[in-house]
Amino acid sequence: MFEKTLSDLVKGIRSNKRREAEFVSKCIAEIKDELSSKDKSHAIKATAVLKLAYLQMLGYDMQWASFYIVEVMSSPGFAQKRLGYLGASVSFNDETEVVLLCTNMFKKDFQSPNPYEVGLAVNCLANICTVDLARDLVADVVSLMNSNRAYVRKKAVLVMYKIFLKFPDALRPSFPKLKEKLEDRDSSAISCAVNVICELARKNPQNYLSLAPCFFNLLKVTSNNWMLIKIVKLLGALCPLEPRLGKKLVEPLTNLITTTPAKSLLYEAIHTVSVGMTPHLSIVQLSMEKLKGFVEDEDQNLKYLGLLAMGNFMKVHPRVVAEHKSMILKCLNDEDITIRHRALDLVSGMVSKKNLMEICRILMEHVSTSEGSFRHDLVEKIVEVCSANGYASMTNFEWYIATLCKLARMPGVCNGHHLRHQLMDVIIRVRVVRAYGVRMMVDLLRDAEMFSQSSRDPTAAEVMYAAAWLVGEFSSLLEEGQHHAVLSALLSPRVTNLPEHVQSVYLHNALKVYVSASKSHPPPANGSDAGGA
Amino acid sequence: MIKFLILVNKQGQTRLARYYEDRMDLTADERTSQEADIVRKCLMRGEQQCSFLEYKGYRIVYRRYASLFFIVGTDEDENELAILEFIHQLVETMDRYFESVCELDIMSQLDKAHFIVDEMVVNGCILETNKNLVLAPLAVLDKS
Repeated sequence: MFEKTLSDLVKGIRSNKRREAEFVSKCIAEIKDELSSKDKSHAIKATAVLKLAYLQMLGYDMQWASFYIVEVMSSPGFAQKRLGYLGASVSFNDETEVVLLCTNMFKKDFQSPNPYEVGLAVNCLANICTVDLARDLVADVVSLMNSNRAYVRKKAVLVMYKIFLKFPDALRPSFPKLKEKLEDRDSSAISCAVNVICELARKNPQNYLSLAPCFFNLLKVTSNNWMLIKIVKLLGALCPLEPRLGKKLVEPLTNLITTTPAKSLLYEAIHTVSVGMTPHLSIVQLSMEKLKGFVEDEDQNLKYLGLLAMGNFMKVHPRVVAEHKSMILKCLNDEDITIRHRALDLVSGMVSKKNLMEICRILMEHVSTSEGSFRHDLVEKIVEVCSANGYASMTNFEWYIATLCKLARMPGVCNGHHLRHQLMDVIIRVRVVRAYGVRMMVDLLRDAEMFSQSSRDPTAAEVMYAAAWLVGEFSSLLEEGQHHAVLSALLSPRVTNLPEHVQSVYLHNALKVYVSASKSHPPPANGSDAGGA
Repeated sequence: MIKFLILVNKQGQTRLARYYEDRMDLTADERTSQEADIVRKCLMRGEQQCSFLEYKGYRIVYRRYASLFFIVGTDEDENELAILEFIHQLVETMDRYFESVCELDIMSQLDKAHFIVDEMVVNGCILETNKNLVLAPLAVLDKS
């Protein structure tokens, strides 16, 4: 019989591109035959499982073969067994019923004299572990953590995390054994233990605070960068819980930040400073200096990460970020939109009374040259920095109203709701600026271009809503002679092109303007009016 | 924690896929179309842009080597630069084993490629990056 190898299958699919589904179902039929055949060595069945794994990657389901996969997993030969385990790793899930059959197989393979076979089984368990498997095998895996082969110990340690996820009751009794691994004679095994504890501590940092001194020591003695990254991350998670820890970390981390050549470790150390050590100004300053180096680097990845990390510092030390204002604003010009977004996020921290108008001017320039969601975000950011903390940085409301009107007039601006809200908020609450505001609103109402834009774009119409409402509410501030023009704008027949809720505001406020007008021009008392003609 | 590791070519065809969390919510078909979607997003970005993006709550770190995109999806707690370094180590290890690896090598020796990945990542955590240690069990397998 000529059975296809994986190579044959791959070549076959490539040369049958137009009839792939047909060819593949033929292959699957062949595979079914191969799996149910009497194949003592399992060599043919193993290859069949491998082919199925390949097909599964292309999108063809292989759940039906789970029983055969278990059969191949029990092969005596390492090469065949390996393929069975591979098939299981990529296709078994919590609903696969035959998983229960695997428990004894795992137990047996865990005892194998060949460490690679043990490794195979442990790996597979990490992929397919269910609640039942976790409960039944936890004791075996714990004893594997004491194997005399480091190769096995490392894998066993990492699998423990999966077991804890599925079967949380296992954590408490096994934890002491896991802790012992922090003093394993093999540094990779220690690294794995650190990894697992790091993951556990993310969920419950409190429980692992007592291990802090141990990690502190590891920080000093190890030179394995992967491990250092995890330790620094872990200590960062613990710092918020114990202020003294932050203080003790200043020296070793300063050392690390100034000496390590590995950018990944440097980044991790800075990240830890930003989340756990912000009260310590000297190391914060040092970190910002290094981040400045990242942002100025040509490598886009470093630029992005530098801006991202600055965002973390900004929450606690906005002034420190503000020192790098011009560099950040330059990033708004970057070709890469993810970098532009990160730079925009930082703008909020840089704003003060002195520079608000200048920053908004720069942002407005970007609005006119950009498009899409970035444009939307820019406008949102302008509104956000102006209105932050109850308009804390605002010195000139008239300028703000003019800016909002300018933004409203820009074609394609889709933040109508924000602009409407802001216009109303400012003009209602800031009494001294109402007269100016009303004048600007009248201009908007009478602006033909604005009107046709609003008829086309419902978001632009929101601004007209605000204009009509404000003019009606403060119609007493309308200047002499304006009432007539305003009423024509509000009652023009083309108003029917606007969205309905805007039309109703137009009508409502037209009435208010009329009432206000008639108050200032009362009809003559004797009734014989010149208007009789 | 690494959530998945996939190798996808420019046409959206997956050449290796490894998931480190339960994928019960997706059928095999949905999974492959999601993989193609991710690579499309990577393709939309230029050579000069950074290697990170977000996709459905995952942080994606990717790098292109010849015709293949090496794509790693993580949660928000992972160090992106360390993942880039890991991807590089993975490529170098595959290069050494397959002697200048190409897409076809990975396709026709899928089990070996999986084996290499399994020696480097367990349960979403990076286990080993030393090429000699990673390739030792494969040498044993090849001899038998």
